[in-house]
Amino acid sequence: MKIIVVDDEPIIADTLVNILNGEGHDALAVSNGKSAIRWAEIVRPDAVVTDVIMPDMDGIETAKGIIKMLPKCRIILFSGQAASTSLLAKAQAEGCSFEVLAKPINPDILLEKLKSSSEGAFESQPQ
Amino acid sequence: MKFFAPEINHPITVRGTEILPDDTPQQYLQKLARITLDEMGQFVGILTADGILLECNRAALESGGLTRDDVIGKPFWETFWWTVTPMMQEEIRKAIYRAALGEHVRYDVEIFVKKSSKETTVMDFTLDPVKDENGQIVFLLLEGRDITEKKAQEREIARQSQELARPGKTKAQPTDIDEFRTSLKSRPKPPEQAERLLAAIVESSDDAIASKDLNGIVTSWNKSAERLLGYSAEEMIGQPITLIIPPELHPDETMILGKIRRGERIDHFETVRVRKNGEKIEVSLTISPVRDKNGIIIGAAKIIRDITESKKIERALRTTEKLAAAGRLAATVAHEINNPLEAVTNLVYLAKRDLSDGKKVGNYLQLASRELDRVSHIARQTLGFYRENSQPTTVNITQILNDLLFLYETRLQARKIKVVKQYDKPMEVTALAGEIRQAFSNLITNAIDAMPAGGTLLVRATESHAWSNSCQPGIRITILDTGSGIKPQHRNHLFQPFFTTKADVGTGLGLWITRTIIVKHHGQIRVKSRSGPQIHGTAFSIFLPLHTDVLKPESEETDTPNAISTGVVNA
Repeated sequence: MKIIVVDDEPIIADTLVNILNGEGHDALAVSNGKSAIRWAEIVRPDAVVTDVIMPDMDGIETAKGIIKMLPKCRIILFSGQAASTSLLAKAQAEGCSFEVLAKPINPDILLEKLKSSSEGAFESQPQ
Repeated sequence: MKFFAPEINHPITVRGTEILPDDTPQQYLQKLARITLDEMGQFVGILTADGILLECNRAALESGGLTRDDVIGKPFWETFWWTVTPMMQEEIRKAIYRAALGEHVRYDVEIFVKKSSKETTVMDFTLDPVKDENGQIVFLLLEGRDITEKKAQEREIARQSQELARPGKTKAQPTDIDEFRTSLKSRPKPPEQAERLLAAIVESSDDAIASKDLNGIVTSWNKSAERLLGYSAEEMIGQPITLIIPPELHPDETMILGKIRRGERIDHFETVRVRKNGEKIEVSLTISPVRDKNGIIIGAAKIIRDITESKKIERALRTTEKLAAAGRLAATVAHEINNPLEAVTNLVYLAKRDLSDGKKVGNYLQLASRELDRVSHIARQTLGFYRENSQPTTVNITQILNDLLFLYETRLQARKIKVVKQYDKPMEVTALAGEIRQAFSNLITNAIDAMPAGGTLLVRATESHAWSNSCQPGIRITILDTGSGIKPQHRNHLFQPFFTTKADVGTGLGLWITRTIIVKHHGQIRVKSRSGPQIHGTAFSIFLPLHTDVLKPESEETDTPNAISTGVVNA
């Protein structure tokens, strides 16, 4: 599965990519929303795992940009901050609902989520 | 009948009464009486015992624009003067009846005086029975004196008294009362009546009002004071005011009496008083000197307001504010801790996966340990190593700055913030290391937060002298960012606890804590900020003296903003 991991903390993005690649995925780390969208256009990922609170473009804007381009792409948001709930509520009001996982995520659970989402159990639905 | 008749050579006419040279003494006296009556300013007339007006003087007629024909021979109560209201007519009729029974009747009444404009005048009116030689009442003499002006003065006094009694004015300001008294004295009104009026106002006030002499002996005590403090006026008057002051606050009374003696006023002094039943109440006192008529201070008047309820509300509000801050603190902690934990979780997962590759595992563990340092630092910082209790030691300021910049390295890199360090050699001061680290940590994280889209963070440390005392050597540290700057409207609140512009993640405690720490070290903190479109950014400068002898970590009062009020702020 082609996956893009977005986090403004390089150590998080890098370790996640390392873990995902070890499980046979083809993952790529980027540090902000804009380059995530740019890379998504090129590699056309099956899934994007993105942090929510980031400078410039937040994870929800990033997700919306990617879904617009790749409607079938699975989005997994993860966040360590309560502030992301207000961003989510805003997105929901605009018609996009996403599920957010809390940092820290157990990598096994993330892998499980990716597997199930590819089977349609976890969905991101632009409404 | 004895009379004096001047020699009259030619006729004398006064208002239609003509005295002729050949008048008989009888005629002369009659005419003189007529002139006397007509020249009187008072309203004078005579009625039959039944109340028919027989005669009245010119003043009575002329003022009303009336003629004799309008009134003479009519029942007095039906004359124009009394037609203000039917009730007044009824009243004068009764008065006539009483006078006819031999009573001296006197009352103040507002009657018509001008037929044209229906103007009224207040009259002090009397009716007296006139008896014949047999003691039979045959006539009634009426007299009326115009007291309109006197009445107006009385109303003015009443108005001023009401003003004094109004809630906003009940502070018994001595100036008001003095003015009031002066104004009373200048009027014909007997002053005792006004004094009584004042006393009544004080007595019925909803505020507890008391007075005392310069020895603190209570001289008056109103009803509200009785209610508020539980002592009756009889119990309090003549007793020292210290009866209602808790023993530990007795020195306050000395201070209060001192101020009163100097003629000073005490406004809204918040303190505690004791009720008769021993219950303590929070009160606000306003105390003013009382002067005698020569201006000599003879005592004090005080208003005691129960503020127990409002204090309770204030405390509840502060608690709410603290809870809100705790909520924001939790958000900050979540932000600062969850990211390193995410990294550590991943690194541990990788170490387990690559267990056979010792080199890889070593690398993961090193990274993990660095992340754990971040977490523990943040936990200490946000969860209270601020209240560290240790002895001052030699602290290397440049080492602390280096550590902090290392700690925030990932955040600085993520935001593409360029770091410029302007210090080379180690610089040491005697201080509480943890607190100094905390103070700078707050400034550096603020600087990072101010530059979400990158910029430059300049950290400078130089040997310097205190701004206020060039003889005191120390170190000056500057932390400058090229962020958006502090908005002018926020600059005055920067160091207040719970003030934050970062509603989601800020506690509003950072700068307040920093300043508390710096002031505790007898240092100084200054801030300069520009928020223009071209030039923008914020620079915090801190001066720390090389040696601080009077550090008292035990007695720190971190809850009181007053404890830090000596800092220098140029916001």
